Amino acid sequence: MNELVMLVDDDDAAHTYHRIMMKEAGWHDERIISKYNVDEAIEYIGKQLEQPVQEKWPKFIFVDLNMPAKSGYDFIDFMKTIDTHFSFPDIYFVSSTKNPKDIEKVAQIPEIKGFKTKFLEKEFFESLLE
Amino acid sequence: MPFFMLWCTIAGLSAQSYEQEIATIKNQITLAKDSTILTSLYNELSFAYRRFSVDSLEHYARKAISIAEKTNDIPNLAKGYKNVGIAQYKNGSDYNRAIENFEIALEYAKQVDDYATQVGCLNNIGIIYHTISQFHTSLKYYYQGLELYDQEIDKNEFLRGLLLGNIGTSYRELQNREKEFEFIEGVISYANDHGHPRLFIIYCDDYVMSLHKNDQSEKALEICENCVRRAEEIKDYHSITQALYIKAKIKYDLKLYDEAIRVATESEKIATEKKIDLISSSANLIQAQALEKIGKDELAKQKAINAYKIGIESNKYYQSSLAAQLLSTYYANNENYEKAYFYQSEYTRLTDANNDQLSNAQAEELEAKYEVDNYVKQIDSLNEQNLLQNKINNLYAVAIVLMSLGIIMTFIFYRNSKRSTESLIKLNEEIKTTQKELQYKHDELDAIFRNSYEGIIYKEINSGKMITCNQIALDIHEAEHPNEITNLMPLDRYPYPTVNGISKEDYVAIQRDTLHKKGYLNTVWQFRRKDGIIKHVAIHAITDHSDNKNPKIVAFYNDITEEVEAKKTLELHNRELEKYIESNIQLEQFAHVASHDLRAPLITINSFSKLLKNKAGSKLSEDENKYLDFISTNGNQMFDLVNDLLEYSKINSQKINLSEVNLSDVIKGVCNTLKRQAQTKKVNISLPKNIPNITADEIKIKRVFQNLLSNAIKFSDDQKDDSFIKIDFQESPDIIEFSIEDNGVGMKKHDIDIFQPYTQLHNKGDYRGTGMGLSFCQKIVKQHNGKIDYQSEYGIGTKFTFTIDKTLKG
Repeated sequence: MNELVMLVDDDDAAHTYHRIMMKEAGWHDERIISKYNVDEAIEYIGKQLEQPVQEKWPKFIFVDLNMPAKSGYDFIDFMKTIDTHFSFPDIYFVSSTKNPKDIEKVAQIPEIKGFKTKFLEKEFFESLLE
Repeated sequence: MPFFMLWCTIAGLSAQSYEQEIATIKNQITLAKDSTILTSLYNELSFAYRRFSVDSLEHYARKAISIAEKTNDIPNLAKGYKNVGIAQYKNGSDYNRAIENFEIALEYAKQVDDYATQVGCLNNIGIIYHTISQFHTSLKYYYQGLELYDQEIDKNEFLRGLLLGNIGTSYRELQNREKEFEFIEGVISYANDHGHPRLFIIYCDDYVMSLHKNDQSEKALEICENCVRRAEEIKDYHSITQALYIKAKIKYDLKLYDEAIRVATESEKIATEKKIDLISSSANLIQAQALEKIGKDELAKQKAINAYKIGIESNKYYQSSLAAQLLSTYYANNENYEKAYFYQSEYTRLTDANNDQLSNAQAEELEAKYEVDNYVKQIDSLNEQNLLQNKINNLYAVAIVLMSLGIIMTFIFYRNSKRSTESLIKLNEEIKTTQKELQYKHDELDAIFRNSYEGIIYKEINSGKMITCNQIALDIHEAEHPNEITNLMPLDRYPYPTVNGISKEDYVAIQRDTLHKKGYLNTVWQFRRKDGIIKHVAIHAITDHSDNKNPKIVAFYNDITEEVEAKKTLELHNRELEKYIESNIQLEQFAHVASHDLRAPLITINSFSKLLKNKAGSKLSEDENKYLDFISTNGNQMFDLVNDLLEYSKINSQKINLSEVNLSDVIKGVCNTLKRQAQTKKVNISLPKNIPNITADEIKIKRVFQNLLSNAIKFSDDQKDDSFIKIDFQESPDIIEFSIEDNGVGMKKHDIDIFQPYTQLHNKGDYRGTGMGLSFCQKIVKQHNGKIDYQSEYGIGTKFTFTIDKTLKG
């Protein structure tokens, strides 16, 4: 799979598990980028925006909702500001609990493709590729 | 009283006709040869004197008796004794003796069927009893007289009218207005029907005043005018002026001042002409009063001076005193203080004189009585010896002079004080009524005072002296006698040195100041009792200035110890409750946060143990796989627990979302979800028909059915072939009750509230569960105003029932 995936999560276990599942689903390991907080993720996106080609521009981004310092919402706020000819990535929110308030809030943000409960399984990643 | 009225009426007349009558009789006496005729003539002469000479009355009566006794002339004995009785009554010397004579006369009259004399005697006895205020006895004699008259005498004479009038008069004294008016009106129509104008006049003035006082003033005025006409017919000037005066008085009372002046002037004119001083003075007085009312002060002054002068000259102190009072006010208003002072002192002097007159009259009457008694005794002894007839006559003359003096004085002051006597009687009655009312009020207040739940203290402010207090007040102060209570708020009893942060001495001083400045005080004082118990007492005190010179304090004590204690307990409980609520909120928050944070690591544990099992399970030994399963199973169980905990913590803060719920679909949906489990456990689920729609929170209600049904499936009895679950419902207008009954394993007897969170009756390994399911159910049912309950028997089965309020509004 050539589509680039960015995982944003403060939990190393989540990165590990999701990488395993994605690989099992047929993803190339080098096309999975792990970022451990929102600032790192923003920095990466910023760098890519300066690039002339989409080569390392993510197609999918999985962002943990609850992280220390900045949350998934902060990341979304940033993403809303970008101005690019690159195609907008499919952003999924991931959380260990689906708080009703969050479900409601997420529903109001068109930039978010989906809201998933941890951990994401192989079957889900497979479905993304179809 | 009619008798005096009669006297008065006749006294006012010209005595000419009577003098003629007397002269005629005397002439006949000189010509009389027969002793019986002579005796009769003496009696007639005696009776003719009755109106203006008591001594002659008795003198000739005695003469008649002495002859009649010798000749055994019974009819004349009767008349003679009757006349003696009249004389004795008239001089007021000895009523008992008068009655005795009337009784003797009665006996003689009976022997010869002389009904007129009998009736006359009965009437006279009645009058005597009336005079000594024995009105019931007087009525008895009047009625006897009237009965005898009506039985035996055909002619409608004056006497019958007197009886009727006297009966009415006695009823007046007994305050029986109805009977009074009945008889007086009877005598008036009798007088009209049978031509006795004097009869009419006799009773009319008292009757008129009675009518006036009983709000029949118009009728009273009408009768007054009638009376004037009748009196004019017989030229009775006294009655004319009297009736006119009464008319004026009524007009004055009715505030018809101009008319009062006109009528009084008429009365005054005649009275002055005929020298009837009393009426003249009274008529002037009423004119003065009326003129003053309409602002003609100068004329009023003139009339008042007239009334004053005539009153003084004729010793009519009552009229002259009132006139003096009027004059004093007049001069005071005109700032002539010298004259105002003079008349004011005249008023005082004359009022005293009027009172003195009254008491002097009584004294003289008593003296006369005493003297007469003495003379009568001497006469008796002389009579017995049959000696010195002349001397007896002389003594009689002396006695009669004294007696006459007495009765004239009595009469004068009777007239003067008649009105005041009436008002005295009224006043006396009012006093009696007031006394009764006071007694009643006193009893009432005393009962309240004694039986009050509050302590009451009444004390003088100036001296601090205790007037009275009730038992409760004594108990609160732990005193045996009211005198032991010296302070409303005793300092030595207050258990602490300060009250509300200030010293108790200062506090009491402030309260005392408040009481005297504002006139009231509300505070709470604590009394440490001798047994050490502290009593809280609410004190409400007010100052009572109804007696300005000696103001009082009324203090009410209310033991509020129980209320204070209860309030303290309540405050304590409230604080505990607040703490509890706070801690409960904190706990729910904690549960929420904790469960939320627990989920993340648990997800990791569960996911990775599953991953490890998948990746390495085949490489591991059987034991190693079992260890991995322990991690996995317990991890999953913990995950469920955390999930339930999270949900339970949220449920209270979530509002119920009411809507119309198709229960049939809900239950069928739940059954569908649980189909696989039911099949595995071989349980047959039966549903009722016609399940109604209800208003409820659909998701929550679904949760209740899901929990209860999954429990029923979980606890079905594998030993039984016919495992079933029966869902049913019952309805009332307000409530729907569902039941979920199974023939599962049932519960052993226990004391555990299975609706409490984390309650499980079975061992951990036996059945999967967190022990939260029924807690959810109970919470949800309560949110729908319902109740959940169960019955269970070990080995037989369990039946859960819960209700939903049908009246909930979406």
